[in-house]
Amino acid sequence: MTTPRPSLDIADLVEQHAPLLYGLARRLSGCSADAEDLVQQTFLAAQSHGDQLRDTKRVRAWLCTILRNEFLKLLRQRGRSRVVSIDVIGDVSSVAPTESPFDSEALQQALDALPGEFRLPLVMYYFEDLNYREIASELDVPIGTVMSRLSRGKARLRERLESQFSTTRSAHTMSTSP
Amino acid sequence: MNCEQALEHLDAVRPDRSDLGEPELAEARAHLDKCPACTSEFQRRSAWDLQVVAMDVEIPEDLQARLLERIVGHEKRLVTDDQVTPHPRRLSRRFWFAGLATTALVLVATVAWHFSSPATGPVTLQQLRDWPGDYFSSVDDLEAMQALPEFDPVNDVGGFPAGWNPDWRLAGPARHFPNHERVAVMAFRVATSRRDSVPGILLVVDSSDLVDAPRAEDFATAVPRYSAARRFSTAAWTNPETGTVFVCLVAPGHHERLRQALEPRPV
Repeated sequence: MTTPRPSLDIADLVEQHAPLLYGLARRLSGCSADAEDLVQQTFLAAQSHGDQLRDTKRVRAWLCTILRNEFLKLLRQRGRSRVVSIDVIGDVSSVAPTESPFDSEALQQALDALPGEFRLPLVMYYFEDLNYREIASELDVPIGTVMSRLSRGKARLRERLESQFSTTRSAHTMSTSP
Repeated sequence: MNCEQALEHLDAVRPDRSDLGEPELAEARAHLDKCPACTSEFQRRSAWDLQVVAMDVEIPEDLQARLLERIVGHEKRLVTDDQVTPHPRRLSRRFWFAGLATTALVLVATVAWHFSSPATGPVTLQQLRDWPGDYFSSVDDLEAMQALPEFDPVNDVGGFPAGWNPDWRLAGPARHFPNHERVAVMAFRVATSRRDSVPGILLVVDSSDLVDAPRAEDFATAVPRYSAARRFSTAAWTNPETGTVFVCLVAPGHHERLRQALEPRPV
């Protein structure tokens, strides 16, 4: 029994969308090997379900959706989905330093430390270039929930990066003092 | 709406503020108008968001090629799995079909080999695009390149395209595929930046040895095509002055990078 031939040209999809998907997968999974696996699974799923794509202009969004689903599947398989109720996350102080320089690796570490339900909307917001309405529609949650998750996720991200920065700065000061 | 609620809503605004006019944010906007502290905090957070957006992930150089290889490998495994689990009652029928198919394949391969050998005349452009797949695991497989027989230059064939730096050429003298002595094969590597480069394979042949010489006259205007099994991205062109045909093979996804690297820079 042969499987029906895919209607999408997978090589073209890889050529055009692999860098974007890899970037998202890297931010979501925090690991380059997982990111590559996720992107591969995304393209394989796209190949198998190419007939589900109604509008070829939306192929980028469609691939991103598949990638997110693959990421959630990976989280479930590994039992890494630390489901934390939004209610138990405390309020974050609005007092913040004026500047927070950080690098890509520090950002990745801060993202990795976030539970999936915060990391996912944040990655969609920052790196998929989606607005809160689109995120709500993609994740099938109310707009208010997205706003809350974005706000709390961003606050945690800022907190972590700013504390990393202050630790690095104090270590630097100590090491450079005579 | 208090400060905390306003800032929570404003955290959902895109870093470029393109959706600040949305109706859900009307109250937060009104709050900003009367609260300088929140206005300042909103500006600070927006600047922070822009910093995050600017953080790029480093993309592995050969990502697309590796992905394609893995996807093709996955498909092959699926096909193999399908073939090794036949239905018991159909086994003997399958066996006979397999025997017939093998015989047919041997016949087809013999005929194909006969027509593709140099003694039978010119080759096709598609053959040139596909042959390297039989010899090279990747475009920078220099070991495989050096294992090929050395090319004997004929009609000045064997040189680099006009405008290509001879220093880009790798692995010594040009080579040829077994039984295809009139096609020169060489490896090259073109720097795309200080740290990055694109490796590739170049085939050179006289247009009189080709059934269908390409119409493009340089690399920049050649339309990229995949080789068999989509292993390489290939571009072919004919030098109109010399009649020399070049076929350039790079990893899938690298054609555009090479094209940009070869673009003449303004002085």
